Amino acid sequence: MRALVALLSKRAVAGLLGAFTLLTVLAPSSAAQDSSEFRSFEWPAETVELFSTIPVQSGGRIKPLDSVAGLNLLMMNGKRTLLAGMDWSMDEYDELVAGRTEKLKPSAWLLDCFFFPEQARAYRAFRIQDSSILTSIGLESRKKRDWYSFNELLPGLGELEKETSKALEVDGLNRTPKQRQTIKLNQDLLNFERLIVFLEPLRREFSTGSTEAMVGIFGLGNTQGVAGILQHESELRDLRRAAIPGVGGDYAAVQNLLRELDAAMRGTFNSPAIIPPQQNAEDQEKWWQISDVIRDSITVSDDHSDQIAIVASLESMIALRNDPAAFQRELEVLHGTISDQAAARGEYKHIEREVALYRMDPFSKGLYSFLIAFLLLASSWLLPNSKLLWYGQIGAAGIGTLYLIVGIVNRCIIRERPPVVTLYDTILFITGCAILVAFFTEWVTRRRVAMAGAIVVGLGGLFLAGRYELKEIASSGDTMASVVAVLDTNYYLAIHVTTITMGYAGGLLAAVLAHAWIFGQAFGYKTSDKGLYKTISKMTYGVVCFCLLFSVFGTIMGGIWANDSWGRFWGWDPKENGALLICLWQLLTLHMRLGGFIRDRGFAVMSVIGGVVVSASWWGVNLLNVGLHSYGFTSGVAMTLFIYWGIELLVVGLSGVNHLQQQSAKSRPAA
Amino acid sequence: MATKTGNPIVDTLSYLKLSCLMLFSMFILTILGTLYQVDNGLYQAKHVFFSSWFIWKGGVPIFLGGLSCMTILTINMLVGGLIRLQITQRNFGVAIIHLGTALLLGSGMVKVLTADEGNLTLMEGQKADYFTSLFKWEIAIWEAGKTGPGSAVIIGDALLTDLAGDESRTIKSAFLPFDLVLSGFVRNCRIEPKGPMWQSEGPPVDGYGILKMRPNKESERDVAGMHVDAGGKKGLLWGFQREPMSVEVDGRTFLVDMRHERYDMPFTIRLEKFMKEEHPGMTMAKAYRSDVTQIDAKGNEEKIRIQMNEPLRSGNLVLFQSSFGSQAGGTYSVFSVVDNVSDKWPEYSLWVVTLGMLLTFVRSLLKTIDKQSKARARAAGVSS
Repeated sequence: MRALVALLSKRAVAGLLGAFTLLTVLAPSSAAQDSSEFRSFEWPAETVELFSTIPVQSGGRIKPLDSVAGLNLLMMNGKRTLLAGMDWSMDEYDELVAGRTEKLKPSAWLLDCFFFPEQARAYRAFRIQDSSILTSIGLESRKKRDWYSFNELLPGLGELEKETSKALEVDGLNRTPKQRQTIKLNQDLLNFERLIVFLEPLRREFSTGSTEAMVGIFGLGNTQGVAGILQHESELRDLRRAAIPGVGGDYAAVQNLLRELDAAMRGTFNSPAIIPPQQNAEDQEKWWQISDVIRDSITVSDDHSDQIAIVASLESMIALRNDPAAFQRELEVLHGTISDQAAARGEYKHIEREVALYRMDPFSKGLYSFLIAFLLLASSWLLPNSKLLWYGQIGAAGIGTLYLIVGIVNRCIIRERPPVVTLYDTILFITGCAILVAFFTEWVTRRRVAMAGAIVVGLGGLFLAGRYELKEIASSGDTMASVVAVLDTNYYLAIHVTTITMGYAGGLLAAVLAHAWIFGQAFGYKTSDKGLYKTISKMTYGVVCFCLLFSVFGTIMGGIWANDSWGRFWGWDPKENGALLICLWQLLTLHMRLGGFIRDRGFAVMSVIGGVVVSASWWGVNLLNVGLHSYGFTSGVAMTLFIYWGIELLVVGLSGVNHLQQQSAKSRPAA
Repeated sequence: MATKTGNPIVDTLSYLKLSCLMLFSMFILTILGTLYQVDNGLYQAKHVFFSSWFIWKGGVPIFLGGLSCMTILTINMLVGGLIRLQITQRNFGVAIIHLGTALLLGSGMVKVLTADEGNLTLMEGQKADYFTSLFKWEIAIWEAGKTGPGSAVIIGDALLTDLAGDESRTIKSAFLPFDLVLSGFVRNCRIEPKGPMWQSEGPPVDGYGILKMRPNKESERDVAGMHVDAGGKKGLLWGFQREPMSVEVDGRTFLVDMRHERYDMPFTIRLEKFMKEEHPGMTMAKAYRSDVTQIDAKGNEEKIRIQMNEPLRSGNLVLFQSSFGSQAGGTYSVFSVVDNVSDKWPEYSLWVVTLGMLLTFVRSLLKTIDKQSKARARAAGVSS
């Protein structure tokens, strides 16, 4: 234990958390055998439901606790649900073992973090992608990729801190996957610590009975909880003011109480802010943490009864945690108090919608729908005349698209912003636009090629969105994160960002259709049907025009925005140059076609390269970490991007080889 | 479709091949310039690739610069798309697109040739009636104790930056009782006591020399320096020197100072209050804004708020809230200032180009839909 404390102290010195916090977090570990520290029942559904819709301020915005739980769990666990242990007992080696497992929803897991932190520490909730991270921090590992509990990782925290510091010294672009995962693990552990220490001040008792004046205020009994103390806020303030240093015991007693409170609050400053302040939202935007209520009640002569009521509820819930019915009653009180105060400030309106959105999980469902559509599409290559398969594709792709649109629209409503604000949004929006354009193209041409394109785009786009969601959360803590000052304009977000991403959608869809042309020719699919290939080429042309229209509009509109925010229309910033590259390439493609310098094959090849140019503009320039569009910088996608470019190079090469083959076949004299 | 006019110059300038070549050149140039700024900064990238006529390597032009490409493309577009193109209902949209694009490129050209850009930094309560360039330098000479308009001789950046190495320029002015000989301009340098371990740019003066530094990636951090000979008195000028160099002639004292170029504004701006708002519980700026008073030449005052995406526009002059910072005296607000006659032209060109593209593409789309439905109707007729 002493060694453990020593290790943790080093970590605390490193500035991650106050040493006291860590000790308080750890202290219950020694009392792990106490059965009341572990939950012996499943959280009732109504308790989880009610808890999930409690609003909280985190990451600069008001969100439901369910989102805080889901985002944290997704980041550390890789999934929004957790398979967790129950019915804990000690084995013959004095190790805690779970008797059975249960599947925890995010809010149920967060309930454990708040009210049964000992239990939450024993959950294997931390996904380690590379076991060598554990080796380098002196811990035993199991498989190459496995899940570990906080308790298992605890002995390695000191070394992890050192490894993280080393990794942070390396420039973001040059970090190895192991270094990135080390930083992420450290961040996950910090986030987890913030949650389990959230109610720490309310688990403690504080000395209140050492002088006559204190007994007069707090009554007989030597100790009180935070709520008991704060309910006498005005008397405590009076006593604090009246107590004279060095005269009588009151001053020392008050100082001692304040020191104890201060110590209990340390380490909780980054915990969720769950308490709406008295003022309206315009005067006081920041919500309070428990520590804010304690500090303000002791120092500021206001009425804090609404805030203290919340603290009292939370304190009662800790005491009632092993009595589900009583806990539920107190939770109802807490929920009512917080949601009423939030609603009075106009900050509760989207809470239930957000919970419903994450429950619906529209993007995963959309992905499954497109997967089904893709399987039907693949089947239709074997049975090309099957109407059932065709209508099945339309139905599955339609449902997938509906899910996507529902997800995007709800995100807009929750944020009160246009659809594209973050890089994650761009994936969803581009996928949606490309699908809708493909549907329209299919409606015009009726050759089933554009529908296939829609399915491929839907499947690929939603798969990418799922993969990138984790990265987005890791970098900004949310997929609906707050925006920097320059982006705080719905007018330009709506016009410039939306149109430029529609341009991206067009460029990528054109590339997908061009692939159909190239692969069809290369693999001899209906090559005698000249009309089919002519139609694909025309479709691609139409989509390239769509891309050019929106890219040019979006690029110039971006310049007008830059003129209003940075004082210049065009600054040759990498992101601006990326947009310009798309415009230039699509103009070149159309002019080459217009002049007859390229035909259908050349047009297809240039459209494939157009997709590469779009990807470079969309992602590539963000990797350079140069310029004024710093809010769009990202890392860790370079390899994926290079693989994509490499594949496209092969596609272009394949088309070249196919062209030479066709030329040589033409020049060969007929047998 | 464009037809040949018989005039070889017009035909050559309007070639579609030339359009393609210039578009491709611009494409390559944009990629190279973007990658170049990772290591060399934006200012250098602009200088080498985008604002140059040619890209030079070892004194030899190896590729067209941005100015060449854009100029040729503009001429090609105007000649091909407006003069040579026989405008019909079918290609009317194309002509409009070309017109709008020409306006856009023209606005860029006007800005490059005529606009003044710079910064204005004010503490709360401070006021100014000029702004300063971030990159350009000037030398100002004035007689001690005399201020006001026309009391100083100003030698602008264009007369300084070509004086690298042994190049020198003699400045004569009726206002000055001495000649000023300028030489050895260095874009980024420090003035250091001359020691044996480094070679100064030009001869040391009074034991000090110019230590040439590598240009910064953020060129606004460069500090220029050069040699000066004012009526026989030799000295070193440096952009950040605390006191101007003084020259005594016939009992009169003249001061010589090197500083960022200054541009007068037709009004005075006083910063009343700067406010920064953060997202709750975060250090990320949500908004920052400056409450200023605009004072015109007659002394009339108007209170104005300048914030991100909401600049102050007055004639061709625009002030943008660009940054802020703090120092011992308090918080300061930084405004980007641009004096540009073509400020709004890109917006006009946007609508012209968009109209042209809509005319072209919507027409083409409707035609395609019509063709496709007719083809389907034909196919249905055949099968029945």
